[in-house]
Amino acid sequence: MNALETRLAEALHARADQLDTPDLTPGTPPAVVTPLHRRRPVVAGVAALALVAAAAVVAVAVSGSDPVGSTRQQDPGIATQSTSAVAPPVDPSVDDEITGADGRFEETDLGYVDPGTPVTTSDGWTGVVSTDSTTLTVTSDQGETWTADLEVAQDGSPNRLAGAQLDFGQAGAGWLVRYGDEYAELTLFNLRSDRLVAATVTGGVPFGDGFTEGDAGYRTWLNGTILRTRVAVGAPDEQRYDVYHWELTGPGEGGEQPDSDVVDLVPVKDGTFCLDGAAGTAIRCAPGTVLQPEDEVGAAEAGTPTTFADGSVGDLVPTGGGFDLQITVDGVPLRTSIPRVSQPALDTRMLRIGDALGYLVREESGDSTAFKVFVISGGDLVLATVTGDVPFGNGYTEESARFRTYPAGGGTALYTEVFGDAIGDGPPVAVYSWDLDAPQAELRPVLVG
Amino acid sequence: MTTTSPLSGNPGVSDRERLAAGDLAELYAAHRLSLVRLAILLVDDQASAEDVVQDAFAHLAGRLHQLRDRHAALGYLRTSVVNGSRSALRRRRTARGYVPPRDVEPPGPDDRAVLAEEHREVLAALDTLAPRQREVLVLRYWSGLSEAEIAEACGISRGSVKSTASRALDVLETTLKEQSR
Repeated sequence: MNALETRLAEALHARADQLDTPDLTPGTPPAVVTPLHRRRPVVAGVAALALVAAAAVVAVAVSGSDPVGSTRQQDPGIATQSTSAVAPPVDPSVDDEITGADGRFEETDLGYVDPGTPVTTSDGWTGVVSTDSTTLTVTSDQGETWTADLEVAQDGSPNRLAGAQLDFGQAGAGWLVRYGDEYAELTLFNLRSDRLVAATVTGGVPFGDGFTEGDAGYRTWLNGTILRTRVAVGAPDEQRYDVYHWELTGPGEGGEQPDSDVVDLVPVKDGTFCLDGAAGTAIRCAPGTVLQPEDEVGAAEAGTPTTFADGSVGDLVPTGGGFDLQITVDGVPLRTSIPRVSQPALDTRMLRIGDALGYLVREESGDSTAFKVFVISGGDLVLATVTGDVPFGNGYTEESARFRTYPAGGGTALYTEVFGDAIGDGPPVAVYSWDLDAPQAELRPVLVG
Repeated sequence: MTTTSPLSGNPGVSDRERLAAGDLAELYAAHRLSLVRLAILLVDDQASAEDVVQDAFAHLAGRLHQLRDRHAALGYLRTSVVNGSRSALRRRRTARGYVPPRDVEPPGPDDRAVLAEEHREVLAALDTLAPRQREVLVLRYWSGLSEAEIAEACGISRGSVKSTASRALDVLETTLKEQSR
């Protein structure tokens, strides 16, 4: 430690030591809150099944998202005993380690360098921020140069260039410049039409590190070769984030088209995850969402039109080989086919998840039920794609663990519970809430407990 | 002189030992003072520091069942205190932006008045740093944390810890030289 560091440490200790226990305002530890919808397993065998079920959730997604296709028609009792018998001993604490995204978002060092220090890519190109932080200059392996002006922070903190190589496919390489120290803004530069252009951040997602106007913390980091941004949602201590990755608009497919000058950074939402503070390692979400009781909803079969709360009218229309869903909005019928159904039923209450409206079609098959959610996107009636690694509907995973999906809160929420065994009479080992994105026609799972 | 505070100590509990509700009271008794001291170094007034620490324990109480051991709990508390202190500073800055200066109590000068002159100079120079720079220096030179632990507590990468600390020390040195002229 040099003299300055020693002096600093001594000053800090002197200041801290001014306060001792008698100086503190009397305080008591807060009451411990125990979540109501999760309980620890009472026997190791159940915990083992929880682990098996968690693995099964992933296996279902890998093999296909249609829950009917993954249904096991085994006797649930036999399946339970069989699984329990072969499962290795499991640490009883394993139920707290289900993350759903372990390692998925780990941070890769962007390797910022100071002004004046060049960054050379694997193909021989070089980028450098001038020593006064006012310009970024990129030089090709052939010696051509391009320069862009940079803003300089008022506090004089320098602009730094990321040393990590950022490749945006057809859009080419990205040169990332970090501006300022405290709540850093980032600018991505890309060579387009013989100019070094600062990309325009689109989609209303912040790019850099800082806080939104709504006081939500956000952070941008490199995850392998992918640039991501996380934006806090919910209470600050929940560590719950919307996670996006960034794509850069390219010069256009096909050699005959001229390069587009539009250099937009476009955020693509990956979902909502709970992440720890530093690296992007996923952790289990706190049970911040209080699960609402399941709705009791009627279902209409084909040929029985249903008028929804917003005045739209839905009907299941036989087409000979299958069924169409028809939704009539303001007298305008929208229609789309329902894949792989033979006896569908339409929920008589629509989903209202966030800003998105959806229509839920179910089809029972034995002890499983396939769920399909339709949304109006871009003026069309579209089947929402189920994203992520979570089963959807009612049924059994490949490891015979039961899962069930149900609307709640008057259609404002849609949950999927995954149980530790095929019977499903114990507490679920994982509970997911579904985000419905109507414009993207996607259902995204959020681990809530 | 040591730069190690109770916050950097290994609690001596097995990594796999799970926390029970009663552990919160023990953590509170064992670490409240150290955490308030940490918060004071970040926000510079005792009332705010105590609030920040109480909030941190309240957050921990809500998720005690999720943490595997005391070491994780201490890391969680430390991160909460750093985040809470940063929020308190931002609220204070916002308040300064909207409230006439006479309505805002300047934090901490009376407490500092009894310190040695050389310490007061350093602390005054520390006040000029950006919050993140200050956090990194406090966690390194008072808490005695490793780069990895500071990265975790501040929510930044290890590389950023190193560069932030380096720049913060440069600014501190420059400020102290200017003060001595």
